[in-house]
Amino acid sequence: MTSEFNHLIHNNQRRLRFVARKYGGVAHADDVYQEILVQLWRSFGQFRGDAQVSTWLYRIALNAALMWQRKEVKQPSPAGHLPEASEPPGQCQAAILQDFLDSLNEIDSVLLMMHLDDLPAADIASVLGLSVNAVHIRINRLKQKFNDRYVD
Amino acid sequence: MNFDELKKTWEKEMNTKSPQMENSIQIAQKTDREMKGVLAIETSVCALLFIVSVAALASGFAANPMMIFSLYLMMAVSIYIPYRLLKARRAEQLDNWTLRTNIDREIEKLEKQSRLLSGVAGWYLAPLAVVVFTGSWGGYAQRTGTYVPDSGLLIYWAGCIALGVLVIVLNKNAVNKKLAPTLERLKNLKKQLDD
Repeated sequence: MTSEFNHLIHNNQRRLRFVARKYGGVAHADDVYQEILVQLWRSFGQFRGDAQVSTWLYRIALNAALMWQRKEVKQPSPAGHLPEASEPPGQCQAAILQDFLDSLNEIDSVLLMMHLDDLPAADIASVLGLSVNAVHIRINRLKQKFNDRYVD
Repeated sequence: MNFDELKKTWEKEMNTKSPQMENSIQIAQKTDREMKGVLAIETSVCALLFIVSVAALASGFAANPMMIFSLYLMMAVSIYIPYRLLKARRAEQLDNWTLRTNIDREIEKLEKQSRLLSGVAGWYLAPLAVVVFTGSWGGYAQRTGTYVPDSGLLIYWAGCIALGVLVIVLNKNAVNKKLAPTLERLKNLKKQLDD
């Protein structure tokens, strides 16, 4: 079980780091990441495979990040999300992706991550507690926002 | 770059492995152990208080009725406080929740916790104060043969009251400076979900 868990974390490290950074900001990202790992470890033995691994992973990570915020009672970090009016970055695609994620609020950014990970809308809806229709509307809104910001 | 190209960039980013392999399991296990350790210490202290109370009653050490009453009360308190601690910190099952239900639940819990801390004088300090006062007064009466407190006992009580006031102030401070901002942040997240 130990090696399977290590393998899972290794494969999803960057994904989890993204969530941790979004919820903890740069200042507390490591703490949030640690909280996510603890909760994943606790839940790993009970994961029955009913859902996709990525859906399960997002569900635990988001809720653990939320638990961390509640437990640690930290002030929101200024790096949690950048002001929307900031200048778009240069042409580097990774920088554009990062900039766009930073410009979104917590909910929209994780919704985008799940969408980019090809999670079905029904799974996204079940993780966030939204209706499938609301997920589609939000994704369209994100597309529009992206186009307004980065597409000439 | 258009929106669909984001997916390729995301996949590429996610498949870029960090050069150093973190020993994730060790971090997780260590933190888990530490959390359990703190809870175990707090529960052990209460268990010890319970055993001391039972031993004192069984040995007949407490002859004064007030002291006997305080020992029974201490037994009750040493069960009640760990019960509250365990209830508050029990392991959360996160895998069945949606973010929305979790947020709602956390808001409800935080509001309850705020009320609990605000009313700490009622549920935590009052029973402890009764234990301290009756215990010390009973012990004093057993030792001196009179219920009229001397200056030493009065000073001791004054110290206990000051400590109680300090605890109340610290709790009020925790509610205002820590819980309130978190509650606001959770409500903001809920608003993001509803937008």
